[in-house]
Amino acid sequence: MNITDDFDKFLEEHFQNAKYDIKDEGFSEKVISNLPNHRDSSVKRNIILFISCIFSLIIFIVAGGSQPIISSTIEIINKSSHLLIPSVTSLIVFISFALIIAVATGLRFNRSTF
Amino acid sequence: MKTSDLGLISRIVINDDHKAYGKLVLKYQSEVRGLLIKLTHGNKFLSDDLAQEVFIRAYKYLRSFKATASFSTWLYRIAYNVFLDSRKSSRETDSIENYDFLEEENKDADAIIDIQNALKVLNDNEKASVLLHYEKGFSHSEISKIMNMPLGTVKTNILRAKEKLRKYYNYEHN
Repeated sequence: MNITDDFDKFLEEHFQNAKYDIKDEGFSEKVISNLPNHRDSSVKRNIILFISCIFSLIIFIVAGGSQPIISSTIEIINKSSHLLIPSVTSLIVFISFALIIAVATGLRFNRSTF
Repeated sequence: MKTSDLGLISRIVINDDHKAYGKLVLKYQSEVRGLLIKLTHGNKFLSDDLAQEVFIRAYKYLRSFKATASFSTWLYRIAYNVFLDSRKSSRETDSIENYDFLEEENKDADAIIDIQNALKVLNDNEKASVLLHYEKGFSHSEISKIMNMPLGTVKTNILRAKEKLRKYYNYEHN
C-alpha cells in the first residue's frame, strides 16, 4: 500500500472520528414556523383566476360571442336527431369550443398534480 | 432514495403538509448542520442560520425536485449554494468560533477542533469536496453533482486538499 492510500485511510478515519450528531433542540420547529405557506398563494391564485374567468365570460356573452356556439350546438343536435349531417361551419365552431375547454381543463389538471 | 422520503415529499407537494416536512427536517438537520458548522469553521450561530435558510429554500423548490437523485444529494447541493451565497455576502464565516455545544453534547471536542483547524488550510471548494468525500462518503461523481462542477475539477480539488492536509499533519514523517 502506498503513502496516498495510507493517507486516504488516515483522513477517512480522522473525519469519521470527528463526526457527531447534532441534537434538534427546537431547530425543526423554528424552520416549520418560518415556512412560506404554499396554500395561501395557491388560494390567491385561484381567486384571481376565478374572477378573471367570470369577467371574460361576461364580456363574451355581452359581445354576442355565445350566439354562434349556441346556434351551432342546437343545429348539431337537431340534425343529428334527424340523422342529417350538420354544416361545416357549425362543426368547426363546436369542435373549436370543445378543444378550448379541453385544453383549459388539461392545463388546470396538470398544474395541480405532482 | 428511501420510500419514506418520497412519501413525505408527495404529502408536502400535494397537501402542503408542514408536519411531513418537519419529519424530513428532523431526519436531515444533523447532517446539514454538521456540514455547515465545519464549512463555517465552527460558527454555530451562522451555521444554524444557514441551515434554516437551506431547509426553507428546499421547501420552496421542493416541486422542482426530481426523484432521479437522492433527496440528501439535492439537499447538500442547496446547502453548498447557501454557503457560497453567504460567502459572497458580508457575513464573515470565521470571525466567531463557538465550540461550547461540543462539551454540552459530551463529544470528543479535541478531535473535532483538530479537524476544524486542519480545514482552515483549505479553500472553500477544497473544504467542501473533502468533507463530502471523507465524512459524508459521497463519490467523486456525486460531489460533482452536488457542487455543480466538472468531475475533473472535483478530483483536482480533492488532490490539492490532500496535499495541503498532508503538509498540515506532517504525514510523511509519521
